[in-house]
Amino acid sequence: MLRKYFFKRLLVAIPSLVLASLIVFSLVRLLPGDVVVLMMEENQYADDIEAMRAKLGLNRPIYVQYFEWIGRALVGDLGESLYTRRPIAHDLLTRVPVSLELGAVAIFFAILLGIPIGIVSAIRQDTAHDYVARGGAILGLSVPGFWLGTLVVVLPAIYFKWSPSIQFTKLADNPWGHVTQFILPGLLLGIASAASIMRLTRTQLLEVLRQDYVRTAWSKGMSERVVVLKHSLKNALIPVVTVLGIQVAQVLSGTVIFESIFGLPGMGRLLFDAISERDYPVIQGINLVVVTTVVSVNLVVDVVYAYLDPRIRF
Amino acid sequence: MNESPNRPRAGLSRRDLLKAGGVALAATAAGPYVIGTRVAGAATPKPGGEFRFRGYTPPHFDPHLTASYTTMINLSFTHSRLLKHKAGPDVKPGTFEIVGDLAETWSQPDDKTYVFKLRKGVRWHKKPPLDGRELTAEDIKYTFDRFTTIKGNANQHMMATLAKTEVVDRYTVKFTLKEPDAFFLDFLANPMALCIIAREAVEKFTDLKKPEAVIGTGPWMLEGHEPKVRTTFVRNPDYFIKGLPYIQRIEGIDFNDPAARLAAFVTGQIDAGPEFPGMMIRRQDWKIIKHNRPKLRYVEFPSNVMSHAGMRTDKAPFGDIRVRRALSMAIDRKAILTATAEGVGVMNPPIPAGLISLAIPYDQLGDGLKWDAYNPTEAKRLLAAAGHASGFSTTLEYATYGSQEIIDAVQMAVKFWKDIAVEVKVVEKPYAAFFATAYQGKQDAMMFGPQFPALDPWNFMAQYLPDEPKNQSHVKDPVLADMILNTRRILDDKKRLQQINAIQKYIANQAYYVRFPSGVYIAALDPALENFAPNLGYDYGGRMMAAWWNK
Repeated sequence: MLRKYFFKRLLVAIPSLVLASLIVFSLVRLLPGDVVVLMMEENQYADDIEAMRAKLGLNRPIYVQYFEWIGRALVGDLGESLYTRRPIAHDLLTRVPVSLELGAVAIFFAILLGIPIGIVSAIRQDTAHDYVARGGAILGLSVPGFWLGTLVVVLPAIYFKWSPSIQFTKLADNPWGHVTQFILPGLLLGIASAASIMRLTRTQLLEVLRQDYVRTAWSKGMSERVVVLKHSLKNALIPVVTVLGIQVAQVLSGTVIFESIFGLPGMGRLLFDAISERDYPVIQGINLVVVTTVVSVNLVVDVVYAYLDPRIRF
Repeated sequence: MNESPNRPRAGLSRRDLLKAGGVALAATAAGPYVIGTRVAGAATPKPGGEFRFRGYTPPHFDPHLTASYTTMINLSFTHSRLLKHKAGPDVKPGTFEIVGDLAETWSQPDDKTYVFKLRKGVRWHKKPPLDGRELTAEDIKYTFDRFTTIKGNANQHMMATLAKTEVVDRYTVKFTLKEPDAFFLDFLANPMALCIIAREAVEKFTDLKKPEAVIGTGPWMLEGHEPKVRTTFVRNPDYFIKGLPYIQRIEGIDFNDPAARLAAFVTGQIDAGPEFPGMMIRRQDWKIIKHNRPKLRYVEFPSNVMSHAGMRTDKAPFGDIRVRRALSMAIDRKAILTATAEGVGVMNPPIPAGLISLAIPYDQLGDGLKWDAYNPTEAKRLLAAAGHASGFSTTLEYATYGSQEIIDAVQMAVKFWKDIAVEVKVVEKPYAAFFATAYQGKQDAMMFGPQFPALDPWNFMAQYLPDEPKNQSHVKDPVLADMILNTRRILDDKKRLQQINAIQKYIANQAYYVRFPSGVYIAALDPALENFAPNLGYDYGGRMMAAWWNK
């Protein structure tokens, strides 16, 4: 049954991906002004405008361009960076793991902070704990990540003569150093997501705690631990899982800022640099990868959702 | 043998520096411009150690296929040039004395011929396909032939007067020019384009874009390149100056967040000021850094990046000299410096004051000086005399370059012009669009922006020539064009400098551009780094070559 549901969801995901690829592909062409002229005049990416158009494949019908681009993308060929002349797929192979690691650490912290605090906030509703937790969540949602990142980098440097290392450490060179370098940016990146998760966990848990079956559990004399963690939390977490899927997209977009501040050579920084250099094939490639990742994660989330709640079959 | 006009003035004092800029403002209160440099004493240089600086990931490594400073800075460690600019603690920032690099000696038998005798025993890095082969005159000829003929070389104009390059013998090369060019040696020494490359590397790798193709004869060899992470260089044990370089390893760490750069410098993760161009720090960060690293060595010197407002002098109302002068007199330059550079900066003659041996001392600009003086009353009178008593409306195109200082300067200028009833509508463009249009003089009326930070006078003067793309004010002044073109033919240094000064006076008097002041850079470095001094320009490697760690 679950397998059938998975394949159904997969079928729905395919048109989403096709639509997203069309949007990504059209971005360059929808920008105002003749981008090719600007790219040419600023960066001398080719000998002349016509050569530039030919290089980008813009001298052919648009449907031919799309099918050729998507055809190559399907076999892992995303073209070549105009700025560095390196294969985009090759660059992404080294950059994507860094962003995924950062994203994973961020989600880890989001869950680690968001769910327990949400639980405490719900079971201690309208107490000091609850107020502090809710206040903290509002703060976490409203403080801009780039500002927080900048403070965390600069203030310890000024007051304690310490700042995170600016040198990226490879896993092969120093496994411990490699992992630890993601902790601070991951924590900061995860804060906004943690706030969302905390608020949702609290709301959902409060709702579940008012259900009849929970009241029954209380009346049976079960401990708070058993009632909350065993009987209530699983049901309360179902919408949280869905939100986690959405948070992945938010976290991925947040990597652009945090990778720049913490000197992590990930996909976000590659995107930032590509935008600065008007390196459109790279921008297209990264967007395609991000879109595919988000769609895939949401597919997984839907499946997990169905697993957690067997009643759900869209 | 003719010497370059870029010879530094002997005994340049603080007073000279201030004169060059014309204004001291807060700098006088804060202390002299040049502070804290320390010449290596009797201590013996210690080889070894690592130097970490803010590095750059270049688009690629082929110096003939990009004008990017990121490429040139990296190649300054690995490649040599025929000539170079003298470096070291006794060199005043903003001066560029030409000395031999691969060239041991050079002569000029006639106005259009230069003959260079190369050092013997110079070897290419021990990397395939060169594997330590000796450098010969053929390499020089190959480099210049490729430089002048390859398609897509944005720096080709530098060798516009070169007619041919000939190999006289294994160690002698001759350049024949189409016409006398007094700036020829300046271009050869320029760290922005003309490093010597090897034919075998080009043939093996098709071009020199890949890191594997970075094979030079310079003091360091490219060790590794991780895009957007780091570029590392290791000492070349066979460098042609025995014993040099002292520092074993150079690491250029690529990180682009200003706050992270500040933190890294404060905590000693990098050894020199992390800002472009060349080991600078931002003035707004200076107090924090000074407080946290009180023993830092630092040098302050005027920037050669000059912003100006250009205007379509081929169109009304800017064709009228009175309008141009009025626009210039409306600007309170000191107020702009106070707002954008904490009051520390210099006023610029037409060649930026930062190039202290080339720029005419500001107070010697003559009649042109008065058009720089803030005088809105006189500006209004000039406008009225030009038939614009009630002012006029116009547009100004600019790009922010991501700089708050530029935004502030533009906003203040617009306010000052409004004070004399000139309504300026600001059109902010993305950098690329600006670069492709207004930077090339393709604006409707006015434009504003920083200019190319050249180290030679030609680049600054050439923007007044009618066919020059950077002639943003569309100057068509036959008298001025003749003066400028003639400068190239004056081979006597003293006379040429006089001519350059005369040109600057003429330009200032014509008010073809509204020149804005420049800030004063703060270059800062670890106190244990000996025998090093910062300067303007991309020659990081040249300046590091004789430096060593005293720790």
